[in-house]
Amino acid sequence: MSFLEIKDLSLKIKEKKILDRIKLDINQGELICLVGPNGAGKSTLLKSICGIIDNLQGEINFKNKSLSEWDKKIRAREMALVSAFTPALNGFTMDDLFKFSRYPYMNIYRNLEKKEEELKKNIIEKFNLLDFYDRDLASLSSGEMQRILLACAFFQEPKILLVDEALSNLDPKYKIHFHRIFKEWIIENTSTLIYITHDLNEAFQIADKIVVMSEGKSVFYGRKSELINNNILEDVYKIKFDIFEKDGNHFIFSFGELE
Amino acid sequence: MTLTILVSTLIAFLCPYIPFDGIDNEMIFWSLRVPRVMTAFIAGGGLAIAGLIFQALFRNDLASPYILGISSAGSLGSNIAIFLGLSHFFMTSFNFIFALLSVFIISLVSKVKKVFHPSTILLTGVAIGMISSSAIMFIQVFSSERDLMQMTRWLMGSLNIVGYDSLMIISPFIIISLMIVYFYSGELNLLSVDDEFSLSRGVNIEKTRKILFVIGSIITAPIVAEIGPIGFVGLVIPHIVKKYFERDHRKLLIISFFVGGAFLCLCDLLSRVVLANGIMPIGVVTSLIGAPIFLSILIRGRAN
Repeated sequence: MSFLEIKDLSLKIKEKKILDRIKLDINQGELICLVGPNGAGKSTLLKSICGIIDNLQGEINFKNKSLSEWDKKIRAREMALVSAFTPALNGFTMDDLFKFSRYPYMNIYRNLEKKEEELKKNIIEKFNLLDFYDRDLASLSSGEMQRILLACAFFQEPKILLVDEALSNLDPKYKIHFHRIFKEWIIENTSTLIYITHDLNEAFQIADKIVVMSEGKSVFYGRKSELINNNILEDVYKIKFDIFEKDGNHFIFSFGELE
Repeated sequence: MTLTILVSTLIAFLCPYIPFDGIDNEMIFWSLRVPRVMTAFIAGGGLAIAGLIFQALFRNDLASPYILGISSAGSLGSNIAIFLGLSHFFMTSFNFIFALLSVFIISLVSKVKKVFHPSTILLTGVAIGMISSSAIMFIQVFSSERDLMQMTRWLMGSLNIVGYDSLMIISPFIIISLMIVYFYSGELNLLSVDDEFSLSRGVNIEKTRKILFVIGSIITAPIVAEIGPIGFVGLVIPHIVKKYFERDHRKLLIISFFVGGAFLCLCDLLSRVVLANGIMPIGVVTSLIGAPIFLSILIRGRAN
């Protein structure tokens, strides 16, 4: 049984192809990094998987059922999205945000149940968010806000977590912290994480598989070792890359434009 | 929150007793004052809630029953009834029909455009409002002086009611709608943030928007039909309440209802007692009193 299957997914906006016949088969329990130049269609692909984008051509099947056939609430129990942009949340408390993440599990808007409260407590401790309880969300920095929204996404208990550059404003300590949380969460829940990043080194370190996108197409999908051995990245970004190896880890640097 | 509700309720209870002279006359008290204040309270609360719903729905602080053309379309209905020399009953029902007609047109436009998009609805509402206003002026040109006077008075809004008829017409709409809206407070919270935010948490935004839009209109229509287009309450009360309380709509809905109700009671009190013995239309008072308060809150809010 396939977990998440994307077949010939295309999207045109005013004659411009945003997504161009994307084909991906994504397994359960993998960390997939999505890389590619600006405007390659990464965020659009992520949102399409989450059911946010209309007028798509092609198919997205989740657990052998077309995404459009999923009830919106039940789908939200399976997928959570952390966007690159934080919406204006002033006036709400962190508690409210956590409650919103349980919306898919509510018939009517209610307070959290005891079991949910416990899960919330665990997540808040794990993500080091205790200090933010009494603070107005408007007073938080973008990095702090990202940490809360990431924590909320886990509180949604999804099987697929879609993360759009949401670590971009975090300091190195929390980045590493989240990498560990991602890995543990994937193993514990046999869940899948699809993560957009511009940091190729980050992708090399944490990804099970990497998708390289360019001009709406998925030009590479596979393991890191395969990506290192060809020059797809150079073709896509149009810059020179050098890859170094230390203790089995690969590091990638760029030193200038292609001649 | 409890305090606000208590104070608002207290205001509503005290209002009928002021000015004190009328208490001796039980007839005046029970058949004029009490229904008048109760109607003001329910109407004020209803308008505030309608505004709160629209503002969350369209994620726009300018959204109100007024801006969306519902009040104006309703007013057109009433003015047509006056022009045709029909009775009060027809004024009310024409008003209601026209208000719902505007809702229907807005849904129709969004159906043609295939999305129930906030800006489409807002702009359609504005267009309907403008058409209605010019249609009203068009009618007024051909009206007799006596009708003209009545139309103008009506457009200013009036709480000069006798007995409990208005109250009986308005309250069921508002109370039932309020109960339904309360079930949607989670959706209101999420929709007030962002479409993407709501969608990724599983909100069926198209369906929810339609339902809430219709409910907001159903609250507004009977109020406008009974007491005329009273601006400002629906715009400002939700704004003020949101400024001083948390953004959770479960609370905001209840607080807005009470604050809106108390506000309209107080405005009515002013028009009855201080200004010209009740001749001053309520619509004039709400804006005259409300606007400066609103401005001062805006300015102070900026400074913080």
